[in-house]
Amino acid sequence: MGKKPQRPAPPSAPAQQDDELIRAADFVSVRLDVHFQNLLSGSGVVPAEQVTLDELGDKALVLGLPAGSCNVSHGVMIEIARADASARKGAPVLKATGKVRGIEKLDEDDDKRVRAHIDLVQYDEESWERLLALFSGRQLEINRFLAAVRG
Amino acid sequence: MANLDPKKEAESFAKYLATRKILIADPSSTARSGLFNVFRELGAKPNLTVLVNSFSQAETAIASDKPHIVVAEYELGKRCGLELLQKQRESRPDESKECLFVIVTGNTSQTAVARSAEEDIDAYILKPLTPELVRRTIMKAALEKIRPRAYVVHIDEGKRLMADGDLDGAEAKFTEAIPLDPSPSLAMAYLGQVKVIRQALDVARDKFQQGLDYNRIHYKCLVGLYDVLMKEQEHVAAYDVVRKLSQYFPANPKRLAEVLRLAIVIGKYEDIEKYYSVFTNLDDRDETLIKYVCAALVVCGKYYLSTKLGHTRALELFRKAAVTASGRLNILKEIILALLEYRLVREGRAQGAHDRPGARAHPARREGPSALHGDAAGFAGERAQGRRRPALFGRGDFFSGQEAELRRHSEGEGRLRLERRATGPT
Repeated sequence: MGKKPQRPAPPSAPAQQDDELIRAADFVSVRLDVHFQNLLSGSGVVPAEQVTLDELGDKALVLGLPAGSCNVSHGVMIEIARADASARKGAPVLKATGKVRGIEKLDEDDDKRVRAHIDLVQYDEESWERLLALFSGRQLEINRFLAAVRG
Repeated sequence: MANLDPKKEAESFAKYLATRKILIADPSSTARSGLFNVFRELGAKPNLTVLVNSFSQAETAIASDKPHIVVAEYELGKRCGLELLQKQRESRPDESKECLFVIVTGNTSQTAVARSAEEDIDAYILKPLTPELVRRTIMKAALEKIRPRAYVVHIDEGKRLMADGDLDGAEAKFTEAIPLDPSPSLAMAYLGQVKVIRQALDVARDKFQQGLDYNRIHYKCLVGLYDVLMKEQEHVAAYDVVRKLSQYFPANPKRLAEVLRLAIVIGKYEDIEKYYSVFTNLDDRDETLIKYVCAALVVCGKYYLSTKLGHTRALELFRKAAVTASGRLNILKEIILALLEYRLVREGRAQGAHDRPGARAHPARREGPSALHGDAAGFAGERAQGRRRPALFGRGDFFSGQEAELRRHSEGEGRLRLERRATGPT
């Protein structure tokens, strides 16, 4: 006979006031604009709609970029800003310089885009931690919510 | 899930993955590539992994390849990746226990998460990805299926017995499951379902409530409790439950329609306006929902007119209904007639004039404001002659009961008083 299961902590439901039927914030997603510039080539800023923030790593990130935007060892500048209604639009999240560690061509036959693995060089530590926490914190909430809903 | 050495867990998972077909559906080529890398590192075979960039390609791939694992972006062009889940289940109806459905998306909104939770997906992973998090999440979801806990085994067995009609056996299994989990809401939910089948609604209600005592947002318990309360015509209590459902699982159009109906039944008119604001935030508004929202606003507006306290408020609701109606003439006629009935002629004319063909272009609508005026005058004339005007809602429509009450009081007493009597859903 095992230990008697203990009563768990209350599940992570979104906090609601009693008379609050719906929260407008529930309908809004975090959206980011990522601006990228290759400092070596001196080319202009790649428009945000062509840049995707694909992965976050250990003081590193992976960006989806148009092919030819940069190459290995290039110095780059990255600006990430909020683009959603729940934050002040354009509110800066992270400004950093970095170095391209690797360029990954896609396994699919796509010559138009690449994945650039970038190590951060100059950045604000607090801003970086806030960016990580923004997504890791939300991911944790989501995992708890799914577990509570399914039971 | 039985506790295994992490290394053994990884080996089990790699073995599982090696023979599984995987579909990755994402409009972003770089995102697809990143996910492909993650799965390959976990042990997936590249020749068993298909990458697609659109909903229609994903549909085709599910039909032809029948993937065990589907990883989809929530936002797949104009379609929602969640819709692929049903297609996957249909493609492998007897193997759902071995299949995984994972959403990987940049959409962090609670509405997207809640909708996914309602569909019972296996994982919801945010972009930008953290590869290690993706690995752990996918592995955990898969191992829960490959090596389920005793609690899950009992529940699954109970479900199978219930599907076979062996209610006694199912009830025994669900009851055995209870001590196997610290928060056995799922077992309580299924026990409640057994009681519902047995028509023991009071007991079913208790079971669902006990499940919610363990976990106040357990979806199956909330929905089960709501269904029982509706069967018992306990509309006030049902409304409380459906409100909670709306709070935790916002933006479900079908549920919003149910909430509107109940709000009308129990006379919670002030809530109608709050729900209207939810409606305006929804991306997908099907015809049923538009009809219910308009109907609710009109009935609400009529109530305010009847109390003679809220003419201004009534007019505002009629305006909202007219905007939402987008040229649906039956709604507009009802609004105009209500205004004429209460001698708000100026407003009635303004409403009719507002709806010009140019402002509300609708290919099927050929009538213009003059036709509306004519109809309104015609209807007013019919009423003066004692002929009944056509109802807003068809026979058997849920709201027609409420409308009938309104009309009876209006004609009988000259002053409207709404009786809150449950008429039941259609």
